[in-house]
Amino acid sequence: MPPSLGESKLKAEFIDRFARFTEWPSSAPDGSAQPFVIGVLGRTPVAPQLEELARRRRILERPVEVRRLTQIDEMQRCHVVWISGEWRERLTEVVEQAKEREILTVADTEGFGERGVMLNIARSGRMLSFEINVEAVRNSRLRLSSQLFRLGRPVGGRRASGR
Amino acid sequence: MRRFRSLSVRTKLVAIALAGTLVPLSTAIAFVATNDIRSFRGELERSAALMAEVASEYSAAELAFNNPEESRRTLAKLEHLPEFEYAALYDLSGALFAGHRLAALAPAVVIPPRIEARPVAEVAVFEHHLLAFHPVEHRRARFGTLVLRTTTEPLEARVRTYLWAVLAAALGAVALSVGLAAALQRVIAQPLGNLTEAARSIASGGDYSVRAGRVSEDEIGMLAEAFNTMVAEVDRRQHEAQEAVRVRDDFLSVASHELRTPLTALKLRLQMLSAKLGRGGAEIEAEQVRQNIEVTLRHLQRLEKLVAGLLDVTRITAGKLELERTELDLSALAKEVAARFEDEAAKAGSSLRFEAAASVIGCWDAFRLDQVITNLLSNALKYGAGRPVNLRVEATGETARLTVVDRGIGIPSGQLSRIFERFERVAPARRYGGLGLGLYISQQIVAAHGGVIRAESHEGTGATFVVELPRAARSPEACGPGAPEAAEEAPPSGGGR
Repeated sequence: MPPSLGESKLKAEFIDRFARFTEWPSSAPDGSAQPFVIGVLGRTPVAPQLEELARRRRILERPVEVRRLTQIDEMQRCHVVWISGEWRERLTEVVEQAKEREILTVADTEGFGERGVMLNIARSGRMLSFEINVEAVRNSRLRLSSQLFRLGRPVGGRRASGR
Repeated sequence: MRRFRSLSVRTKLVAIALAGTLVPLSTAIAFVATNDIRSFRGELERSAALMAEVASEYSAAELAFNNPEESRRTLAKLEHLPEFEYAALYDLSGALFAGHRLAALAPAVVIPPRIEARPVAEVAVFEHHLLAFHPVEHRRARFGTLVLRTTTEPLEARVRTYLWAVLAAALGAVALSVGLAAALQRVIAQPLGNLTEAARSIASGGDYSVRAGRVSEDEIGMLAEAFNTMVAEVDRRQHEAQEAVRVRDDFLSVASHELRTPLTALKLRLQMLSAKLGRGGAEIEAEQVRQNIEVTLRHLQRLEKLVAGLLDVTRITAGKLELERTELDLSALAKEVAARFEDEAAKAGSSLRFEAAASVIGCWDAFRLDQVITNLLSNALKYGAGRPVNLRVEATGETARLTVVDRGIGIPSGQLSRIFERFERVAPARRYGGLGLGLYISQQIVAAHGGVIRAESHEGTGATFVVELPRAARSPEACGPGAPEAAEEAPPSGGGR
C-alpha cells in the first residue's frame, strides 16, 4: 500500500518530535541562529513534507534546513538523516558513518531498525509507531529521552550486533 | 452581669475556672484546628499537583507521538492514589486524548471530552473534589494538558474525625477543670463561710468574744484578721462607752451633792436670819447680821466657782476657749495669787513659800493663768496635809516654768495619767469636795497657750505639778498691750469671765 499524503506528513511530524526528545552534545544550543539540518538520503514522499515543515516551523527553536543528499559524505553537517528504502544496499555504510558524527538516523522501511537505524517508523494497526535500536543509540554520542525508549518498540540489540 | 453577681462564691469560682479554661482552650483549639485543616488540605493539593506534574512529564512523548494507548497505561498507574477519581490528557486544542477513571469508586464522575486551555499548572478546589491541571511540556515545547481529579471526601472524613477528637479532648479538659474547681473552691468558700458564721453569731448574740479562725495567710486570712481586730475594737469601744457613762453618772451625783451642800447651808442660814428678823429683829445685832451675810457670801462664792468651772468645761468641750493675750509678768501674777492664798494657807496650817525670778515676761492670758495657779495652789493646800507648799516661777530661755510642790497625800502612780481627764478625781469625793474639773480646765488652758502641764508624785510623799509655757505667742505682733491675738481671739465678749 503506497503511503498516503497524510501519512508522509505525519512522518515529517515524527522527525520534528524525535528531534525534541534528542540531545546533540556538540551542537549549538536550542534557540541558536544556526540551522537545524535534516538530510534526506534517497527519494521519499516525506522529503517535500519536511521541506514544507521547514518553511513554517522551527525545531528546537532553530531555523530548519532540509538537504537532499546523494552521497554518504554529504551527511557530515546533518543533525538528522532520513534514509529511504533505496539505500537498503549501502545501509551498513550509512549507519557506520552516522555513528561517528552525532547523527540521528531515521527510516520507515521494515527491517532497517534491526540493521542499525536508530529510529524506524512502523505502522501498528491504524497508527504510526516506531522501533528504537537501543544498541545503536547507546553506541552513538546522542542522548535520547527515556520517553522514546518507553514508547518505541526495542529492536536490534545483541541480535543486531551478532550479525 | 447582675445574674452573675447574685451567684454564690462557689458557683462563681467554678464559673471563673471554667471561663479560664474555655477561653484559652477554645482559642488554641480554633487556631490549631484551622491550621491543621488548612495543612491537610494543602497536603492534598500539593500531592495532587505533584502527581499531575509527574504524570505530565511522562505523557509528553505519548502526546508527541500520538500514542493514546500507552498514555492510558501511564494514567492508569495513578489509580493507586487514595483519592484518585480520574486522570486525563488533552491535546493542544483542548480535546480529550486519553483518560483513565476509577468507575467503581466514582460512577457519577465522567471525564469531560473537552477543556478550556490552561496555560499554567494550577489546582482548582471544588466542594468535594480537586482538579489539578498541569501543562504537558518537553524542552519548552507544549503538547497538551494533564488533568487529575481527586476526591476530597477522605480529607473531609479525616477533618471530621479530627474535629470530633478535638471536641472530645476539649470536653475532657473542661470537665477536669470544673471538677478541680469544684474541689478547690472550698479553700476560698469555706473560710468565708466561717467568717460569715462568726459575724452572724456576734450580730445575734452580741458576744464580742467570738473570733474568726485564721486559716490562711492570704487575703481571706487578712480579712479574718481585720474582722477580729474590728470585733476587738468594737468590744473595747463598748467598754469605753460604758465607762464614760459610769464616769458621767458619778460626776452628776458628785456635782449635785457639791451644789446642794452650799445651797442647804445657805438656805439654813437665811431661814435662821429670816426667823430672827421675823420676830421683830430686836434680838439680832448688826454684828450678827454682818457675820451671817459674810458666811452667805462665802457659800455663794463657792457656788459661783462651781458653776464657773462647769461653764468652762462646757466652753472647752465646744472648742470655744478663747485667750486674751497681753504682755504679762508671770512672777508678779504668781505672787499676787499666792498673796490671795495666805489666809487659806494659814487655815490649812501650811506655810506657802514663794520663790521667783525678778520678772518672767511672756504673752499670755492673765485671767486664765490666774485660774491655773489658783487651781494648783488650791489643790496643793487641799491635799497638802498641812505641810509646806512651794510655788516657784523661773524662766529658761524661751520657756517659763511654774512649779507647785506639796508634801501631802500624793497621788497613786497608777492614777497619775487620769488626773487631767474630765470629771476624774483621785481623792475620795466625800472627804475632799470639788467637782474634779480643776486640773482638766488647767490642762486645757495651758495647752491653748501651747504649753504643757505634768504631775510627778508618789503616794504619801506629796505631788509636784509643773507648768511650762512658751514665752512668745505664735504671732508676736498680736501681743501688744491689750491687743487680742487676731488668729485665735474673737473680740472680748464683755461678759462670761
